[in-house]
Amino acid sequence: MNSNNNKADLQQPRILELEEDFSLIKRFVEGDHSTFRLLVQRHKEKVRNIIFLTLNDHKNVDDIAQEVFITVYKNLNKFRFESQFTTWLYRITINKCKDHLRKMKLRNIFSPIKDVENEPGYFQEHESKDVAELIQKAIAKLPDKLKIPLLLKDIEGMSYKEISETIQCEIGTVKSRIFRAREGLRELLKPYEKELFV
Amino acid sequence: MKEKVKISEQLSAYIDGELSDAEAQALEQKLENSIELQNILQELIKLKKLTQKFSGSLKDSPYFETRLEGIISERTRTPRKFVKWLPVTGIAAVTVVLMILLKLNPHLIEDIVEEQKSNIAGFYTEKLKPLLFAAELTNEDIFNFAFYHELPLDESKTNVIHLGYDQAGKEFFEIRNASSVSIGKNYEVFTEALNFDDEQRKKIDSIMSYYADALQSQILVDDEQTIAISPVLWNYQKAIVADILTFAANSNPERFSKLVPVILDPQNFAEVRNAFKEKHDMKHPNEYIILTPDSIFRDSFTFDMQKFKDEMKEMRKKIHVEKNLSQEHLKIAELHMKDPKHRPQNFVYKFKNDQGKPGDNDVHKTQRHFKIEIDTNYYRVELVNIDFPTIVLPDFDSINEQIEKAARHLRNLHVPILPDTKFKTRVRAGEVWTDSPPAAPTPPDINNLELDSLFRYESDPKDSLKSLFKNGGAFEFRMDSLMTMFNLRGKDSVFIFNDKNFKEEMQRFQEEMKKLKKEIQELRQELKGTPAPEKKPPTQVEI
Repeated sequence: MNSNNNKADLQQPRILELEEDFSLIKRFVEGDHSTFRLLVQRHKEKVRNIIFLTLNDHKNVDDIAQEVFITVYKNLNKFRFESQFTTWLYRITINKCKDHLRKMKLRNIFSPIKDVENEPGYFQEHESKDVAELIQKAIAKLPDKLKIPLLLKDIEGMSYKEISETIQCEIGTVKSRIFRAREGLRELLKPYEKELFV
Repeated sequence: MKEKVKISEQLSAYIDGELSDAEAQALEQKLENSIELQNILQELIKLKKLTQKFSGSLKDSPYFETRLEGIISERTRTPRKFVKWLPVTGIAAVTVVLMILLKLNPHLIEDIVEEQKSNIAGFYTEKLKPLLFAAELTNEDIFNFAFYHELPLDESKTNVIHLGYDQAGKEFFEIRNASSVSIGKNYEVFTEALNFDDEQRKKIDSIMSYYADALQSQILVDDEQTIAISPVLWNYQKAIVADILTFAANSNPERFSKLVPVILDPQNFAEVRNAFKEKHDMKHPNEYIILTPDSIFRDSFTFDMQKFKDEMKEMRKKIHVEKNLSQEHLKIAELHMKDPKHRPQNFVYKFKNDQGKPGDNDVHKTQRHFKIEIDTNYYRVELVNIDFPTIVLPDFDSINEQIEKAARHLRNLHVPILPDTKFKTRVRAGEVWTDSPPAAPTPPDINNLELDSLFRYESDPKDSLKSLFKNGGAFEFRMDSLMTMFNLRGKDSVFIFNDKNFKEEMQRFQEEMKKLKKEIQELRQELKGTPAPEKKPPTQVEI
C-alpha cells in the first residue's frame, strides 16, 4: 500500500535503551558520579536540538542545555525509575525553554526596538527562498504549545505517550496539537507550495 | 467540516504510527475510496519529511561535557541558591542575633557607645597636665581669683581664665588677656589692713597655699591642644571667699567689722568650707569640660596631682644627676618649661558638640549645651546650668549671696587719700591701677545739698550681682556707720587700711563733718536772704 510505504519511509529516530540509562543513573545514585558524563554524552545532542528547535536560536542553546543538565545532576538522586529518563530529561528541557522564552518576552517589553532579523518566523518578500530556512522560520512561527509536540514527534521520534508525559497533557491533546501544528505549517508554507511540494 | 478535521487529525496520527490497528484499518478503507483524503495524506507526509529534513541542524558543541562539569563543580562548591540568598540570609541572621542580644541586654548599644566615648575621653585625658602648675600660683593670685574672678594661666600673667556672669546671670568662663584688675598686691594689703600677727598670717597663707595646690588640678592641658576645665572653679572661688572672710572675721573681729561692715554667720561659712573640702579633695573624681580640637565633652576623672608632682621631682633629679647640671641650669630648664611658647596656644577648634558624659545614660542630662564664643583675644564657654551633680553642699546656695555681697564690699569701698593719714590705698580708676588719687569729685549742688548725698554708693554696673544688693537682707550696708567713717565713692575701689590711730582720725573727721554741716546751714540761710535765727539766751527762771 502506498500509504504504508510512505509511512515506512519516514525516518525513525533512534531510541535509547532504557536499561542503559537506568543502570547509569543507578551507578550515579550509588556514588559513581562519573556516569553522569556518559548520560550527558548520550542525550546532549537531543537536548540541544530540542532547545534549538524550540527557540530557533543558536546563541543560547548551550547555556540552556547546561542549565538542563545541571538541574538533572542536582535532582538525579530523586529519579524514581517510573518513566523513561528521556521523558524526565525532555520535560526539564521544555521547561527551561519556556522559562527562557518568558524572559525574552519580558525583555522585549522593555526594548521596543526589535531586531527584525531575529524575529522568529517573520517572513518578508526579500527573504531567501532557501527551503531549510523557510521551514525553520515557519516552525518558529508556530505557537510553542503546537511547535513543541510536533518537534518532539518528528525530530525526536517520541511517541504521543512520551510527549504527553513530557509536556504533561493528555494524549488526545498531543494528537490534536500535532495535527494543528501541521495544518499551521501548511498554511504558512502555502506561498511556497510550488517550490516545496513539487 | 468537523468530520473532515477529525479525519485529517486521524491521518496525522496515522503517519505518526499512533493509531491502533483497528483505527488504522478503518482509516485505510476510507483512504481507498477518497482521493481528497489521499491528497491530504500526501501533504501531511511531505510536511513531516520537510520538518524532519530541514528543521535545522546544530553545530557540535566541543567540550560541552567538560564545561558542564566545570560549572557543576563550581556550583557544588558554593550552591548558587545559597550564594544568591547569602546577603539576605546574612542580614537576617545578624538581625536576629542583634535582636536577641538587645533583648537580653537592652543597653548594649548604649554601653558600646559609652565605651567608645570613654576610650576617646581616655585618649584625650591621659596626657593632660596641670596648666596652672607652670603659673606657680601665689597667694596673691588666689586672693585675686576669689575677689576678681581671674586666675593667671602663666607665670607672666598675660593670660587669665576669667569667671563671669552674663547679663542673664548665667555663669561662664573665658580665657582672655589679663585685665589690670587682678594685678596688684591686694592680698598683702588686705592682710595688713586686718593687722594679722605672724601666726595668723601663717594660717591664712596656709589656706591660700591649700587652694593654690587644689586649683592646679582644675585646669589641665596637653600638647594636642586639649584643655580640660573643671566647672567646680566657681565652687572654689566661693569657697576661698568663704574661707578668707571666715578666717578674717574670727581672727580680728573688730577690724573686720569695720572693714567689712556686714553680718557674717561664721557657722555657716565654716560649714561650707568643711563641706567643700570634703567633697572636693583630690581623691574624688572631678568633672571636667574637655575642649579638644574636634569636640567638647564632659568627663569625670581624678587627676593625680601628687603623682604628677612626684614625676616632676623625679625629672628634676634626673636632670640634675644625669647631666650634672648646676642649679642655674636647672632653673633655665624650668623656665623653658614655663615659657608660654612651649605650651599650647592659639587653640583652634572645630566644635562637634557631644555633651554626653561617659557613663551618663540620662538623655536629659546629656543634652545640655555649651555656648561657645570665640574671638581673637579670648574664647568663652558658657554653660546653661552650672551643676554640681555629685556635690551636695549644705546651705551653700543660701549663703552664696552673702559671700558675694561681702566680696562686693571689698571691691566697692573707697577711701580718699588724706595727706596725713597712714591709710594705704589702691585705687582703681577705670581699668588702670594707680597709686595716685582719683580725680576730685564734682562739687555738690549746694542748693540741694543734703548730708546723705555725701555718700553715694554705686555698685559696679557690669556686675550681675548688682541686684543682690538692692534686695537687702542680712548683708545690707550699714550706711550711717559708713557715712560717718568715710567719704564713700563706690566706683570699683578697694578700701584697705592699717592705721593705728583709727579712732582719732574718725573723731577728727566727725568734727570736720559737723563744721561742714554748720557751714552749709549758714550758707543756705544766706542764700534764702533770711538772717539766721539768733540764739535766744536761756530764760532766767526765778524760784
